[in-house]
Amino acid sequence: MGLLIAGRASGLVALVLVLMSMFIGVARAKKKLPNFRKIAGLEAMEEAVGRATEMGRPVFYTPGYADVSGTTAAPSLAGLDLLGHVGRLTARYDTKLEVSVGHPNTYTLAQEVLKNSYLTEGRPDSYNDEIIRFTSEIQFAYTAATLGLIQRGKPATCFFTGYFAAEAIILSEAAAAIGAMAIAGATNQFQIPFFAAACDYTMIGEEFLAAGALISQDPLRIGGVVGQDYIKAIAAITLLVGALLFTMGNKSLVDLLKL
Amino acid sequence: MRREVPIAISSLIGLILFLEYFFKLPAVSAWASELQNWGVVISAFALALAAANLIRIHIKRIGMGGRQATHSFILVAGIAVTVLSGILIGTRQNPFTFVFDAIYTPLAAAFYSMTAFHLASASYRAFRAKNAQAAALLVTGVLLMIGRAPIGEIMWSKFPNIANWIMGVINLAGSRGIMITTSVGVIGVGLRVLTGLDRAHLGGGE
Repeated sequence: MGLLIAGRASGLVALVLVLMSMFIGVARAKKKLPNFRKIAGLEAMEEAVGRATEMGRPVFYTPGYADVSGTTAAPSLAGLDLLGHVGRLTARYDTKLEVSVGHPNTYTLAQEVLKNSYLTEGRPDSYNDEIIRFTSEIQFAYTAATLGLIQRGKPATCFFTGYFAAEAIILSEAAAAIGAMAIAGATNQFQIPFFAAACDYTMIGEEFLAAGALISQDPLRIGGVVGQDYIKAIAAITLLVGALLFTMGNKSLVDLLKL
Repeated sequence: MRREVPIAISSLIGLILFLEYFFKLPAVSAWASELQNWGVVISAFALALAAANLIRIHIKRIGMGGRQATHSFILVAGIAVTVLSGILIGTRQNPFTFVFDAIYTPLAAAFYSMTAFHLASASYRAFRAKNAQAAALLVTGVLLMIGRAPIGEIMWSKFPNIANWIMGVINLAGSRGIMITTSVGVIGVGLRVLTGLDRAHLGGGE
C-alpha cells in the first residue's frame, strides 16, 4: 500500500466522497435552497424563549461538559451553534439568559458566540461575562453546579443541547420538577431515550447536528447538510448490497471496506 | 480577517492531522504530535480564563452576602485548598487526594445513584398513555420490565424471549439507524468546520 496506512484506504475514499458530496450540495444550495422537513424541537425554540419572556423568568442553556475536540467535538460545536441562536432570541426579547458550560475550551468559544449574538441583535450592552458560568469539566461536579443553577434560577425554559452522559436524566428531571419547558438535543444514543422521556422536545442525532445550519438558511452550511444526505443514501445502498452479498456468502464488499 | 485567520489555521491543522491518520509520513507525524502538545497548552490557558470567571463571580457573591454567599465561600475555599495543596504539597498525597477520594468520589457516586429515582419519575410521565405513540411506549416498556425481571420468567416462560426480541430487533434496528446517521452528521460537522463552510462556533452564523 506504500505510504497509505493499512486498513485506512476505505476511510480515505469515504472522506473524499463526503467532501465531494458536500461541495456538490453547496453548489446546488447556492442555486436554490432545498426544503427540509420540520424539526419539532427547532420550531419550538422561539416559542420556548417567548414563554420565558411572558413569564418573566430566565432561559437556561447548557451545551454539556465536553470539549470541542475529540469524540465530543460535533455535539459540543452543534450546542454552541444553537447557543448563538438562543442568545439572539434572548437578546431580541430582552430575556435573562443563564448558561452553564463544563469545559474551559467550550467556555471560551461560548463567550465569543454569545457576545456576537448580542452584538448582532444590537444589544451589546445586555451581554456580560456572568451570563456564562464555567462549572467543572468533571462530570458530576458539572451536574451538581448545573442542577443548582436550575433549581435556584427557576428558568421557564431549559435547553440541554450538546454532549451529555448520565447527567442527562438528572438535569431534565430538574427542569420538569420546576415546571420548565425542556428542549434537548443529543447524539449520545444511550442518553437520547432519557431525554425523549423527560423533555418536551428532543432533537435526535443528526437532527441536532443539522439544526444550526437549518436555522441559518446559509447556502454554504445547508449545502453541507445536503451533501450528508447524499452520503446517507450511499451508505444505505452499501448496507443493502453488503447484506445481500453476505447472505449469499460473498464477503467481497466486507473485504473491500477493510482495506 | 477576524474569522478568516482562525478558519485558515483550523483547516491547516485539520489537513495535517488527516495526513497523519491516513499516511506513513514521519515528518507529518512529528508535526501532528507537536500540534497536539500545543492543544494541551492552549487548553491550560482556556482553563485559567474559565477559572478566573468562576472565582470572580463567586467572590462578588461573597461580597454581596445573603444565602448564596455561603455556597460561594465553600466553592472558593474548596478551589483554594485544592489548588494550593496540589502545588505546595503535591497531587499524590493528602490533602489533595483527600478532596477526590473522600469528598468528590462519594458525592459523584451519590449523584449517579440518584439517576434511578429520576428514571422512575421520568418513566411515570413518559408512560402515561396520552396517545398511540405513548401507549406503544408503555406496552413496550412494561413488556421489557417484566421480561428482564426474574418474576417475568416465573409468570410466563416466553416473557424473556419477548424482551430479548424487542431489544435485539426493534431497538437495535432503531439505534443502528440513529448511530449511522449521527456518524455521518459528525463527519459532516467536522468537515464543515475544517473547510470553513460552518463558522458559527466563531460567533454570528445567521
